[in-house]
Amino acid sequence: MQLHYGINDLKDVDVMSFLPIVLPVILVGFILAMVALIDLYKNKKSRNNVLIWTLIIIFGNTIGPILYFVIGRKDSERA
Amino acid sequence: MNSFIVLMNKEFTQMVRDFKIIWLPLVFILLGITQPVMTYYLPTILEALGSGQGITIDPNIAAQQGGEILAGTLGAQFDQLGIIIIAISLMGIIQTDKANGMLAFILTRPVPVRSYVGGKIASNYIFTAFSVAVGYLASYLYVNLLFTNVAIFDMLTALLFYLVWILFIISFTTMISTLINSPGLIALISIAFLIGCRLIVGLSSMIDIINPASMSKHAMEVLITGSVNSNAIVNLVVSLLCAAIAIFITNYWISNKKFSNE
Amino acid sequence: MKLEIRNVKKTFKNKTAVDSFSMELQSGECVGLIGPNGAGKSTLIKMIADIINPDTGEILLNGKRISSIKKEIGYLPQYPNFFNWMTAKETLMFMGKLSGLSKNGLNTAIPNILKKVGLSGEEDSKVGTFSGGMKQRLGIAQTLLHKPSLIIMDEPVSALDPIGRREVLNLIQEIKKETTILLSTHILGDAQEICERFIVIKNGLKIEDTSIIELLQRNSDNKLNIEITEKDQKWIGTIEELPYVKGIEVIGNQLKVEVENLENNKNLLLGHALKHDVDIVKFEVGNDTLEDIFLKLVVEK
Repeated sequence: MQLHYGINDLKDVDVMSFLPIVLPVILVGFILAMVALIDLYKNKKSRNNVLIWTLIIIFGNTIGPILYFVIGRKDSERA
Repeated sequence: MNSFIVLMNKEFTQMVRDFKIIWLPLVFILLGITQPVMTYYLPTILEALGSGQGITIDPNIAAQQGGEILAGTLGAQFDQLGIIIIAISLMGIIQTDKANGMLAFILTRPVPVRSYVGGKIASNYIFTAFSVAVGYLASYLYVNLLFTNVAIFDMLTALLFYLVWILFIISFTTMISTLINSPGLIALISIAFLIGCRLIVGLSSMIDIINPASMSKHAMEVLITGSVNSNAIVNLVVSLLCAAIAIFITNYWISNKKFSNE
Repeated sequence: MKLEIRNVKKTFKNKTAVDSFSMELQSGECVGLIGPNGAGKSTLIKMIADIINPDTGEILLNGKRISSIKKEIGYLPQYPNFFNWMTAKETLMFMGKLSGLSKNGLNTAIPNILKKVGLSGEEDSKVGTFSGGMKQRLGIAQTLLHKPSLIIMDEPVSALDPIGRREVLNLIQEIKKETTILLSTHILGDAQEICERFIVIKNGLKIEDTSIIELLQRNSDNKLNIEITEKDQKWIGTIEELPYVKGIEVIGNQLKVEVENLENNKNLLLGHALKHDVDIVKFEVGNDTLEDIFLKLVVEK
């Protein structure tokens, strides 16, 4: 197989085949972030650094929510 | 027996309240999908990054066998990020109860220590194994979609082997969580030890026999070659034994009330 | 019900927390374990609750080791934490089931108990939102749930604010009618209020085991506390000469007068004061307060 794509050709080729495969990945990442945000705001009184966590969840895509769940939720138990 | 079920139910309820029941499977689905998707698009991505015109891609990369990709999910994703996530999510499994006095409190009730430890291990193992299996199945679907099909029997055998390794991961982390009081240190020791176990697989056949991480290698071998290594059964028994030892130490430690020495 | 503690000893890394401690506790008693911080109260309580094992000696309830009849004890830790994510009802359900109670029994028992401890409207609130006093009351509810014959409380009121303390003390007053209670505290007023019997512990040793009345009687000496105003300072000089006055201690406007016989002499002295037109602010029989006695016991011995 010989591939002769330039950087400009990338878009034309991918969009159609790309979406159905990558969409679930994006969707799962999205759900993860939403669950993290919902949890954060339901418990915002007992959590430290709500704003920082919000930023981490939104911009640390997929790693952000994971970090929040494994580390960020512990804050409240220290009370 | 009754208190075992009560304690197990409590763990499951806690997972639901903590949303763990949602996020852990999702994380493993993501990890599972990553390997096939990345491998599939790697040529294109390399191409784009290289921005070179007319690079010839080795056809073997694109035509990788499905089994190899699925093995890659276990070896490259689950055995690295996966272990880290499991260890961190379990670091407080006993430590939290020790720290806030609930462990001592629960044991003032007529609760046998084995019910407490058993409830913890059983509930967390069932749930973690479920999450890993879900992620693995997602990976399997993607592999079948994007690459060659993997035989269902091989896929299930590999999953079974891999879940034995997961059992050890959970027993070991639980043991460390019982012995040590600082959550950070628990995570660090567990992760270093478990990933260390995984890394030394293959270096010496002697060590491999007693190394529970060999189960991960056997799982990958089943997927790549389609046949079960002759050592796999021995390893399986030894791994179960290792997990049993870790659980026994946990039980012994709590029974002898070593946790409340101030 | 009978609790026996025989020659119990516990050492933590060279420091002896409890040393050759023995006591007995009969059904229906309410016993206060008092002592300064670090005296070994908590360690002793934890050994009775079977959380830590004594190095030597044994603790028996009705002649059996506690670990074999945990159902018979109710334990309230110093800081009952529970699981923050559980509601009050779930907490009691959880602890109740661990004590071996049936779900149906608990369904009817829990509302009653919550009512008793004054948490009626809170059964579905998360424990994490509770104040210290509420948690303590929930903790007491938990100890009552399985109707134990002995309730052990570790500093039930020490960490609470005055309102929480009042709530919990009233509650303990209420429940002590029905069961046997052993509680530890370093606040004497609390112990005095709810317990008839005291055990004073210091450096792990039992230094006193007595009832409050006995303790007060034993420590009363023939003293009167009198407070007068500035202008009557001269009067102090005149009473020094009285035959029945054995000694005077003056602190500002307060005097401690020791007399020969309290019964006979106190009115004589009062009459003497009135005759001299002394402006009396306070005139009382000078029993040592429990706190004085406690300090004497703990500091001097």
